[in-house]
Amino acid sequence: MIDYGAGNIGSVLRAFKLLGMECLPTSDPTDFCRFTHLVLPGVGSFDYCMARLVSSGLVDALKDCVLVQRVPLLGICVGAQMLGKSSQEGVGEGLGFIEMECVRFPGTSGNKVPHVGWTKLRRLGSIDNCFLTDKILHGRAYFTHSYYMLPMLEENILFTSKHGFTFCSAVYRDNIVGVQYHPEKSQRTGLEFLRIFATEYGR
Amino acid sequence: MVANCRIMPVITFDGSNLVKTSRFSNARYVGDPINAARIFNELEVDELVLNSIGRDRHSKDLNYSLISSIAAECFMPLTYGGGISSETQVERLLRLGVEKVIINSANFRLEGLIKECIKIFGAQAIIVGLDYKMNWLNKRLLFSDSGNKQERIAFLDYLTKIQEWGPGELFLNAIDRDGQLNGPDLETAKVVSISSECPVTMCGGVRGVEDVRSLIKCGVSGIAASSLFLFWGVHRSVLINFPEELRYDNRSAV
Repeated sequence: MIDYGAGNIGSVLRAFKLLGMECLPTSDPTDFCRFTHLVLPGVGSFDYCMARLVSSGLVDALKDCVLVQRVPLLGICVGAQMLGKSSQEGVGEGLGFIEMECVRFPGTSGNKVPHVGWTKLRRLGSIDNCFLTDKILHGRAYFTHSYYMLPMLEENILFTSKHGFTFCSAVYRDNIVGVQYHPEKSQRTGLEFLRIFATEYGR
Repeated sequence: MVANCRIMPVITFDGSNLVKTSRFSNARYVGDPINAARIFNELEVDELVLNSIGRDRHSKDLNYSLISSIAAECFMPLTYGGGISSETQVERLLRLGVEKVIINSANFRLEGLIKECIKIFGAQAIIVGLDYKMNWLNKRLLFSDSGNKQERIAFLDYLTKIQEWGPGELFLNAIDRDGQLNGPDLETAKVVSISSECPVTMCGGVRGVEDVRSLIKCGVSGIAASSLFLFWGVHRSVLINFPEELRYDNRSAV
Protein backbone atom coordinates (compact mmCIF):
# COMPACT_ATOMS: atom_id res chain seq x y z
CA MET A 1 0.00 0.00 0.00
CA ILE A 2 1.72 3.08 -1.25
CA ASP A 3 1.22 5.73 1.34
CA TYR A 4 1.80 9.12 -0.23
CA GLY A 5 -0.76 10.96 1.85
CA ALA A 6 -3.71 11.02 -0.52
CA GLY A 7 -5.72 7.89 -0.16
CA ASN A 8 -8.10 6.10 2.11
CA ILE A 9 -5.51 3.55 3.13
CA GLY A 10 -7.22 2.50 6.36
CA SER A 11 -10.12 0.86 4.58
CA VAL A 12 -7.97 -0.97 2.06
CA LEU A 13 -5.68 -2.28 4.78
CA ARG A 14 -8.70 -3.54 6.69
CA ALA A 15 -10.10 -5.25 3.62
CA PHE A 16 -6.90 -7.21 3.00
CA LYS A 17 -6.70 -8.03 6.69
CA LEU A 18 -10.20 -9.48 6.53
CA LEU A 19 -9.04 -11.62 3.62
CA GLY A 20 -6.19 -12.87 5.75
CA MET A 21 -3.50 -11.15 3.70
CA GLU A 22 -0.62 -9.07 4.87
CA CYS A 23 -0.90 -5.55 3.55
CA LEU A 24 1.39 -2.87 4.89
CA PRO A 25 1.54 0.83 4.17
CA THR A 26 4.88 2.15 2.98
CA SER A 27 6.26 5.46 1.86
CA ASP A 28 9.81 4.15 1.52
CA PRO A 29 10.73 3.73 -2.16
CA THR A 30 13.49 1.25 -1.39
CA ASP A 31 10.80 -0.95 0.12
CA PHE A 32 8.56 -1.32 -2.92
CA CYS A 33 10.10 -4.30 -4.64
CA ARG A 34 10.01 -6.29 -1.39
CA PHE A 35 6.29 -6.67 -1.86
CA THR A 36 4.50 -9.23 -4.02
CA HIS A 37 1.86 -6.65 -5.01
CA LEU A 38 1.48 -2.90 -4.85
CA VAL A 39 -1.68 -0.85 -4.32
CA LEU A 40 -1.97 2.80 -5.28
CA PRO A 41 -4.92 4.47 -3.57
CA GLY A 42 -6.20 7.93 -4.39
CA VAL A 43 -8.86 10.20 -3.01
CA GLY A 44 -9.11 13.82 -4.03
CA SER A 45 -8.49 15.67 -7.24
CA PHE A 46 -6.17 14.35 -9.95
CA ASP A 47 -3.68 17.21 -9.65
CA TYR A 48 -3.66 17.04 -5.87
CA CYS A 49 -2.92 13.31 -5.86
CA MET A 50 -0.29 13.46 -8.60
CA ALA A 51 1.41 16.40 -6.91
CA ARG A 52 1.56 14.49 -3.63
CA LEU A 53 2.88 11.37 -5.33
CA VAL A 54 5.58 13.32 -7.13
CA SER A 55 6.61 15.32 -4.08
CA SER A 56 6.79 12.14 -2.02
CA GLY A 57 9.66 11.01 -4.24
CA LEU A 58 8.06 7.67 -5.00
CA VAL A 59 7.46 7.88 -8.74
CA ASP A 60 10.84 6.54 -9.92
CA ALA A 61 10.72 3.56 -7.58
CA LEU A 62 7.14 2.91 -8.64
CA LYS A 63 8.07 2.98 -12.33
CA ASP A 64 10.98 0.65 -11.73
CA CYS A 65 9.01 -1.85 -9.69
CA VAL A 66 5.99 -1.89 -11.93
CA LEU A 67 7.42 -1.45 -15.44
CA VAL A 68 10.75 -3.21 -15.01
CA GLN A 69 10.36 -5.67 -12.13
CA ARG A 70 6.73 -6.28 -13.15
CA VAL A 71 5.29 -6.28 -9.66
CA PRO A 72 1.48 -6.35 -9.99
CA LEU A 73 -0.06 -2.95 -9.30
CA LEU A 74 -3.65 -2.09 -8.42
CA GLY A 75 -4.77 1.52 -8.73
CA ILE A 76 -7.97 2.50 -6.92
CA CYS A 77 -10.21 5.41 -7.84
CA VAL A 78 -7.93 8.40 -8.46
CA GLY A 79 -5.07 5.92 -8.10
CA ALA A 80 -6.47 4.23 -11.22
CA GLN A 81 -6.92 7.53 -13.05
CA MET A 82 -3.29 8.37 -12.28
CA LEU A 83 -2.20 5.34 -14.30
CA GLY A 84 -3.17 7.33 -17.40
CA LYS A 85 -1.60 10.27 -19.14
CA SER A 86 -3.82 13.11 -18.02
CA SER A 87 -7.22 14.15 -16.73
CA GLN A 88 -9.63 16.89 -17.68
CA GLU A 89 -9.86 17.56 -13.98
CA GLY A 90 -6.39 19.08 -13.87
CA VAL A 91 -3.29 20.11 -15.72
CA GLY A 92 -0.80 17.62 -14.28
CA GLU A 93 0.62 14.60 -16.04
CA GLY A 94 -0.30 11.12 -14.94
CA LEU A 95 2.07 8.18 -14.66
CA GLY A 96 1.42 7.14 -18.25
CA PHE A 97 1.37 3.39 -17.52
CA ILE A 98 -1.77 2.97 -19.60
CA GLU A 99 -2.70 4.90 -22.76
CA MET A 100 -5.71 6.78 -21.46
CA GLU A 101 -7.01 10.07 -20.24
CA CYS A 102 -9.84 10.96 -17.90
CA VAL A 103 -12.88 12.97 -18.83
CA ARG A 104 -15.78 14.47 -16.91
CA PHE A 105 -19.30 13.03 -16.92
CA PRO A 106 -21.50 15.34 -18.99
CA GLY A 107 -24.22 15.67 -16.35
CA THR A 108 -27.15 15.47 -18.72
CA SER A 109 -30.61 15.24 -17.19
CA GLY A 110 -31.12 12.28 -14.93
CA ASN A 111 -27.42 11.58 -14.62
CA LYS A 112 -26.03 13.53 -11.76
CA VAL A 113 -22.39 14.38 -11.27
CA PRO A 114 -20.54 12.93 -9.43
CA HIS A 115 -21.65 9.40 -10.15
CA VAL A 116 -22.30 8.11 -6.66
CA GLY A 117 -23.64 4.68 -5.95
CA TRP A 118 -23.61 1.00 -6.63
CA THR A 119 -23.36 -0.30 -10.19
CA LYS A 120 -22.74 -3.62 -11.91
CA LEU A 121 -19.45 -4.47 -13.54
CA ARG A 122 -19.86 -5.80 -17.05
CA ARG A 123 -17.57 -7.80 -19.28
CA LEU A 124 -16.62 -6.18 -22.56
CA GLY A 125 -17.41 -8.51 -25.42
CA SER A 126 -16.03 -11.98 -24.87
CA ILE A 127 -12.74 -11.20 -23.14
CA ASP A 128 -11.64 -13.53 -20.41
CA ASN A 129 -9.41 -13.17 -17.40
CA CYS A 130 -9.21 -14.10 -13.74
CA PHE A 131 -11.45 -11.22 -12.61
CA LEU A 132 -14.43 -12.29 -14.67
CA THR A 133 -15.97 -14.62 -12.13
CA ASP A 134 -19.68 -15.09 -11.50
CA LYS A 135 -19.34 -13.56 -8.09
CA ILE A 136 -18.04 -10.33 -9.55
CA LEU A 137 -20.25 -10.16 -12.63
CA HIS A 138 -23.36 -10.78 -10.53
CA GLY A 139 -22.29 -8.39 -7.84
CA ARG A 140 -22.07 -4.62 -7.60
CA ALA A 141 -19.39 -2.07 -6.86
CA TYR A 142 -19.41 1.32 -5.22
CA PHE A 143 -18.46 4.34 -7.28
CA THR A 144 -17.98 7.96 -6.37
CA HIS A 145 -16.39 10.02 -9.11
CA SER A 146 -16.95 12.94 -11.46
CA TYR A 147 -14.35 11.81 -14.01
CA TYR A 148 -14.08 8.48 -15.77
CA MET A 149 -11.27 6.71 -17.62
CA LEU A 150 -11.08 6.73 -21.39
CA PRO A 151 -8.47 4.23 -22.59
CA MET A 152 -7.25 4.54 -26.20
CA LEU A 153 -7.20 0.80 -26.73
CA GLU A 154 -10.18 -1.48 -26.25
CA GLU A 155 -7.82 -4.23 -25.09
CA ASN A 156 -7.12 -2.18 -21.95
CA ILE A 157 -10.77 -2.20 -20.84
CA LEU A 158 -11.39 -4.69 -18.03
CA PHE A 159 -14.95 -3.72 -17.04
CA THR A 160 -17.63 -1.35 -18.18
CA SER A 161 -20.48 0.07 -16.12
CA LYS A 162 -23.43 2.33 -16.72
CA HIS A 163 -24.21 5.84 -15.58
CA GLY A 164 -26.57 7.15 -18.21
CA PHE A 165 -24.24 5.63 -20.79
CA THR A 166 -21.67 2.87 -20.73
CA PHE A 167 -18.27 3.95 -19.47
CA CYS A 168 -15.04 2.19 -18.65
CA SER A 169 -14.98 1.25 -14.99
CA ALA A 170 -11.71 -0.71 -14.89
CA VAL A 171 -8.56 -0.89 -17.01
CA TYR A 172 -5.70 -3.35 -17.25
CA ARG A 173 -2.46 -3.95 -19.06
CA ASP A 174 0.03 -6.71 -18.29
CA ASN A 175 0.67 -6.55 -14.53
CA ILE A 176 -1.25 -3.32 -14.00
CA VAL A 177 -4.93 -2.98 -13.17
CA GLY A 178 -6.88 0.15 -12.33
CA VAL A 179 -10.40 0.26 -10.93
CA GLN A 180 -12.59 3.35 -10.78
CA TYR A 181 -14.73 1.90 -8.00
CA HIS A 182 -13.70 1.28 -4.40
CA PRO A 183 -13.27 -2.46 -3.88
CA GLU A 184 -12.58 -1.83 -0.18
CA LYS A 185 -16.07 -0.36 0.10
CA SER A 186 -17.90 -2.74 -2.18
CA GLN A 187 -18.69 -5.43 0.33
CA ARG A 188 -18.48 -8.98 -0.99
CA THR A 189 -17.91 -8.06 -4.64
CA GLY A 190 -15.06 -5.77 -3.69
CA LEU A 191 -13.49 -8.27 -1.33
CA GLU A 192 -13.67 -10.94 -4.03
CA PHE A 193 -11.93 -8.56 -6.44
CA LEU A 194 -9.14 -7.86 -3.96
CA ARG A 195 -8.74 -11.55 -3.27
CA ILE A 196 -8.33 -12.33 -6.96
CA PHE A 197 -5.86 -9.46 -7.40
CA ALA A 198 -3.73 -10.69 -4.52
CA THR A 199 -3.82 -14.37 -5.35
CA GLU A 200 -4.19 -14.74 -9.10
CA TYR A 201 -3.46 -11.57 -11.05
CA GLY A 202 -0.16 -10.85 -12.65
CA ARG A 203 1.13 -14.39 -12.50
CA MET B 1 -37.44 -0.39 -7.86
CA VAL B 2 -34.37 1.24 -9.32
CA ALA B 3 -31.30 -0.60 -8.14
CA ASN B 4 -28.90 2.28 -8.25
CA CYS B 5 -30.53 4.47 -5.65
CA ARG B 6 -28.73 4.38 -2.34
CA ILE B 7 -30.63 3.49 0.79
CA MET B 8 -28.74 4.41 3.91
CA PRO B 9 -29.31 4.14 7.63
CA VAL B 10 -28.37 7.17 9.70
CA ILE B 11 -26.89 6.57 13.12
CA THR B 12 -26.65 9.50 15.44
CA PHE B 13 -24.38 9.56 18.42
CA ASP B 14 -23.98 11.81 21.43
CA GLY B 15 -20.74 11.13 23.25
CA SER B 16 -20.39 7.42 22.74
CA ASN B 17 -24.06 6.57 22.78
CA LEU B 18 -26.25 5.75 19.85
CA VAL B 19 -29.32 7.98 20.13
CA LYS B 20 -32.47 8.78 18.21
CA THR B 21 -33.94 12.24 18.14
CA SER B 22 -37.46 13.45 17.57
CA ARG B 23 -37.61 16.60 15.47
CA PHE B 24 -33.93 17.08 16.34
CA SER B 25 -34.51 17.03 20.10
CA ASN B 26 -35.31 14.59 22.91
CA ALA B 27 -32.46 12.30 22.08
CA ARG B 28 -33.44 8.80 23.20
CA TYR B 29 -30.73 6.31 24.11
CA VAL B 30 -30.73 3.41 21.68
CA GLY B 31 -27.49 1.54 22.22
CA ASP B 32 -23.95 1.19 21.00
CA PRO B 33 -23.08 2.86 17.69
CA ILE B 34 -20.20 0.49 16.94
CA ASN B 35 -22.46 -2.51 17.32
CA ALA B 36 -25.07 -0.84 15.12
CA ALA B 37 -22.44 -0.26 12.43
CA ARG B 38 -21.36 -3.89 12.64
CA ILE B 39 -24.93 -5.10 12.15
CA PHE B 40 -25.58 -2.73 9.25
CA ASN B 41 -22.40 -3.98 7.62
CA GLU B 42 -23.61 -7.56 7.94
CA LEU B 43 -26.97 -6.53 6.50
CA GLU B 44 -25.03 -5.11 3.53
CA VAL B 45 -26.63 -1.67 3.52
CA ASP B 46 -25.62 0.63 0.68
CA GLU B 47 -24.01 3.23 2.86
CA LEU B 48 -23.94 4.33 6.47
CA VAL B 49 -24.34 7.89 7.65
CA LEU B 50 -22.83 8.78 10.99
CA ASN B 51 -24.06 11.92 12.65
CA SER B 52 -22.71 13.55 15.78
CA ILE B 53 -24.88 15.79 17.94
CA GLY B 54 -24.33 17.15 21.39
CA ARG B 55 -23.47 20.58 22.58
CA ASP B 56 -19.77 19.97 23.01
CA ARG B 57 -19.09 18.83 19.50
CA HIS B 58 -17.97 22.30 18.46
CA SER B 59 -15.73 22.94 21.45
CA LYS B 60 -13.96 19.62 21.69
CA ASP B 61 -12.48 18.09 18.61
CA LEU B 62 -14.27 15.25 16.86
CA ASN B 63 -14.50 11.85 18.46
CA TYR B 64 -11.94 10.27 16.14
CA SER B 65 -11.57 7.18 18.25
CA LEU B 66 -15.24 6.31 17.98
CA ILE B 67 -15.39 7.22 14.30
CA SER B 68 -12.36 5.03 13.67
CA SER B 69 -13.95 2.08 15.47
CA ILE B 70 -17.09 2.49 13.41
CA ALA B 71 -15.11 2.81 10.16
CA ALA B 72 -13.38 -0.45 11.02
CA GLU B 73 -16.73 -2.24 10.88
CA CYS B 74 -17.72 -0.84 7.49
CA PHE B 75 -16.93 -2.47 4.17
CA MET B 76 -19.41 -0.13 2.59
CA PRO B 77 -19.09 3.66 2.37
CA LEU B 78 -19.26 5.68 5.54
CA THR B 79 -20.33 9.32 5.68
CA TYR B 80 -19.73 11.50 8.70
CA GLY B 81 -21.34 14.80 9.69
CA GLY B 82 -21.25 16.92 12.83
CA GLY B 83 -19.04 19.79 13.92
CA ILE B 84 -16.70 19.88 10.93
CA SER B 85 -15.02 23.25 10.67
CA SER B 86 -11.55 22.75 9.19
CA GLU B 87 -9.69 21.05 6.35
CA THR B 88 -7.49 19.27 8.88
CA GLN B 89 -10.50 17.54 10.34
CA VAL B 90 -11.66 16.45 6.90
CA GLU B 91 -8.24 15.09 6.05
CA ARG B 92 -8.10 13.15 9.25
CA LEU B 93 -11.58 11.72 8.77
CA LEU B 94 -10.81 10.59 5.23
CA ARG B 95 -7.66 8.92 6.41
CA LEU B 96 -9.57 7.04 9.08
CA GLY B 97 -11.79 5.43 6.48
CA VAL B 98 -14.67 7.90 6.17
CA GLU B 99 -15.64 8.24 2.50
CA LYS B 100 -17.56 11.47 2.62
CA VAL B 101 -18.17 14.28 5.07
CA ILE B 102 -21.24 16.43 5.57
CA ILE B 103 -20.63 20.09 6.24
CA ASN B 104 -23.54 22.20 7.42
CA SER B 105 -23.09 24.85 10.13
CA ALA B 106 -19.61 25.80 8.95
CA ASN B 107 -21.00 26.83 5.56
CA PHE B 108 -22.77 29.76 7.20
CA ARG B 109 -19.77 30.94 9.20
CA LEU B 110 -16.64 29.95 7.31
CA GLU B 111 -17.39 30.90 3.73
CA GLY B 112 -14.18 29.61 2.22
CA LEU B 113 -14.12 26.22 3.91
CA ILE B 114 -16.29 24.19 1.59
CA LYS B 115 -14.67 25.47 -1.60
CA GLU B 116 -11.25 24.73 -0.17
CA CYS B 117 -12.28 21.24 0.86
CA ILE B 118 -13.72 20.50 -2.58
CA LYS B 119 -10.50 21.71 -4.17
CA ILE B 120 -8.25 19.57 -1.97
CA PHE B 121 -10.32 16.45 -1.43
CA GLY B 122 -12.50 16.40 -4.53
CA ALA B 123 -16.22 17.09 -4.77
CA GLN B 124 -17.12 13.43 -4.29
CA ALA B 125 -15.96 13.56 -0.67
CA ILE B 126 -17.78 16.74 0.31
CA ILE B 127 -21.50 16.88 1.00
CA VAL B 128 -23.50 19.95 1.91
CA GLY B 129 -25.98 19.28 4.69
CA LEU B 130 -29.23 21.23 4.74
CA ASP B 131 -31.42 21.04 7.82
CA TYR B 132 -34.76 22.76 7.37
CA LYS B 133 -38.21 23.22 8.86
CA MET B 134 -41.42 24.42 7.29
CA ASN B 135 -42.98 27.46 8.91
CA TRP B 136 -46.72 28.10 9.17
CA LEU B 137 -46.66 29.79 5.74
CA ASN B 138 -45.14 26.62 4.26
CA LYS B 139 -41.87 28.41 3.71
CA ARG B 140 -38.66 26.47 4.20
CA LEU B 141 -36.38 27.81 6.93
CA LEU B 142 -32.74 26.77 7.15
CA PHE B 143 -31.16 25.77 10.43
CA SER B 144 -27.64 25.10 11.62
CA ASP B 145 -26.18 23.75 14.89
CA SER B 146 -28.36 20.65 15.02
CA GLY B 147 -31.50 22.68 14.50
CA ASN B 148 -30.71 25.24 17.21
CA LYS B 149 -29.96 28.27 15.08
CA GLN B 150 -32.13 29.63 12.32
CA GLU B 151 -30.21 31.01 9.37
CA ARG B 152 -31.38 34.14 7.57
CA ILE B 153 -30.61 33.18 4.02
CA ALA B 154 -33.59 32.07 1.97
CA PHE B 155 -33.76 28.39 1.07
CA LEU B 156 -33.70 28.89 -2.69
CA ASP B 157 -30.93 31.49 -2.49
CA TYR B 158 -28.88 29.01 -0.52
CA LEU B 159 -29.47 26.33 -3.16
CA THR B 160 -28.11 28.70 -5.80
CA LYS B 161 -25.03 29.37 -3.68
CA ILE B 162 -24.45 25.66 -3.24
CA GLN B 163 -24.53 25.05 -6.99
CA GLU B 164 -21.70 27.53 -7.35
CA TRP B 165 -19.60 25.64 -4.80
CA GLY B 166 -20.06 22.36 -6.63
CA PRO B 167 -20.24 19.76 -3.84
CA GLY B 168 -20.56 16.05 -4.47
CA GLU B 169 -23.98 15.69 -2.91
CA LEU B 170 -26.73 17.46 -0.98
CA PHE B 171 -28.05 15.87 2.20
CA LEU B 172 -31.47 17.22 3.16
CA ASN B 173 -32.86 16.81 6.65
CA ALA B 174 -36.54 17.55 7.14
CA ILE B 175 -36.37 18.45 10.84
CA ASP B 176 -40.17 18.35 11.30
CA ARG B 177 -40.30 14.76 10.12
CA ASP B 178 -37.28 13.53 12.05
CA GLY B 179 -38.30 10.50 14.11
CA GLN B 180 -41.95 10.80 13.11
CA LEU B 181 -42.26 7.99 10.57
CA ASN B 182 -44.95 10.09 8.87
CA GLY B 183 -43.68 10.06 5.31
CA PRO B 184 -40.99 12.12 3.56
CA ASP B 185 -41.25 15.68 2.21
CA LEU B 186 -41.73 14.90 -1.46
CA GLU B 187 -42.23 18.50 -2.53
CA THR B 188 -38.87 19.64 -1.24
CA ALA B 189 -37.24 16.53 -2.67
CA LYS B 190 -38.57 17.50 -6.10
CA VAL B 191 -37.60 21.17 -5.86
CA VAL B 192 -34.06 20.45 -4.77
CA SER B 193 -33.46 17.58 -7.22
CA ILE B 194 -34.54 19.65 -10.19
CA SER B 195 -32.20 22.48 -9.31
CA SER B 196 -29.16 20.35 -8.45
CA GLU B 197 -26.56 18.99 -10.78
CA CYS B 198 -25.24 16.77 -8.02
CA PRO B 199 -27.04 13.83 -6.38
CA VAL B 200 -29.54 14.58 -3.63
CA THR B 201 -30.29 12.53 -0.52
CA MET B 202 -33.43 13.04 1.52
CA CYS B 203 -33.83 12.18 5.18
CA GLY B 204 -36.79 12.46 7.51
CA GLY B 205 -40.02 10.50 7.93
CA VAL B 206 -39.24 7.58 5.62
CA ARG B 207 -41.43 4.60 6.53
CA GLY B 208 -40.60 1.92 3.98
CA VAL B 209 -40.44 0.84 0.38
CA GLU B 210 -43.37 2.95 -0.84
CA ASP B 211 -41.73 6.11 0.47
CA VAL B 212 -38.49 5.07 -1.20
CA ARG B 213 -40.30 4.66 -4.53
CA SER B 214 -41.99 8.06 -4.15
CA LEU B 215 -38.69 9.76 -3.40
CA ILE B 216 -37.00 8.18 -6.39
CA LYS B 217 -39.83 9.50 -8.58
CA CYS B 218 -39.01 12.97 -7.23
CA GLY B 219 -35.49 12.65 -8.53
CA VAL B 220 -33.47 11.90 -5.40
CA SER B 221 -30.86 9.20 -5.64
CA GLY B 222 -30.17 8.77 -1.94
CA ILE B 223 -32.72 7.90 0.71
CA ALA B 224 -31.65 8.14 4.33
CA ALA B 225 -33.62 7.02 7.35
CA SER B 226 -33.05 6.44 11.00
CA SER B 227 -36.20 5.33 12.84
CA LEU B 228 -37.03 2.87 10.07
CA PHE B 229 -33.78 1.00 10.62
CA LEU B 230 -33.48 1.31 14.39
CA PHE B 231 -36.95 0.41 15.57
CA TRP B 232 -39.43 -2.32 14.89
CA GLY B 233 -43.09 -2.84 15.52
CA VAL B 234 -45.94 -0.82 16.92
CA HIS B 235 -44.20 -0.19 20.20
CA ARG B 236 -41.01 0.95 18.49
CA SER B 237 -38.73 -1.49 20.24
CA VAL B 238 -35.10 -1.16 19.40
CA LEU B 239 -34.17 -3.61 16.68
CA ILE B 240 -31.50 -2.76 14.18
CA ASN B 241 -32.88 -3.90 10.86
CA PHE B 242 -32.83 -3.41 7.10
CA PRO B 243 -36.11 -4.60 5.57
CA GLU B 244 -35.89 -7.42 3.04
CA GLU B 245 -37.60 -5.51 0.25
CA LEU B 246 -35.02 -2.72 0.46
CA ARG B 247 -32.01 -4.98 0.17
CA TYR B 248 -30.02 -4.78 -3.01
CA ASP B 249 -30.66 -8.39 -4.03
CA ASN B 250 -34.39 -7.71 -4.06
CA ARG B 251 -34.27 -4.64 -6.25
CA SER B 252 -34.43 -4.70 -10.02
CA ALA B 253 -31.17 -4.86 -11.94
CA VAL B 254 -29.63 -1.86 -13.67
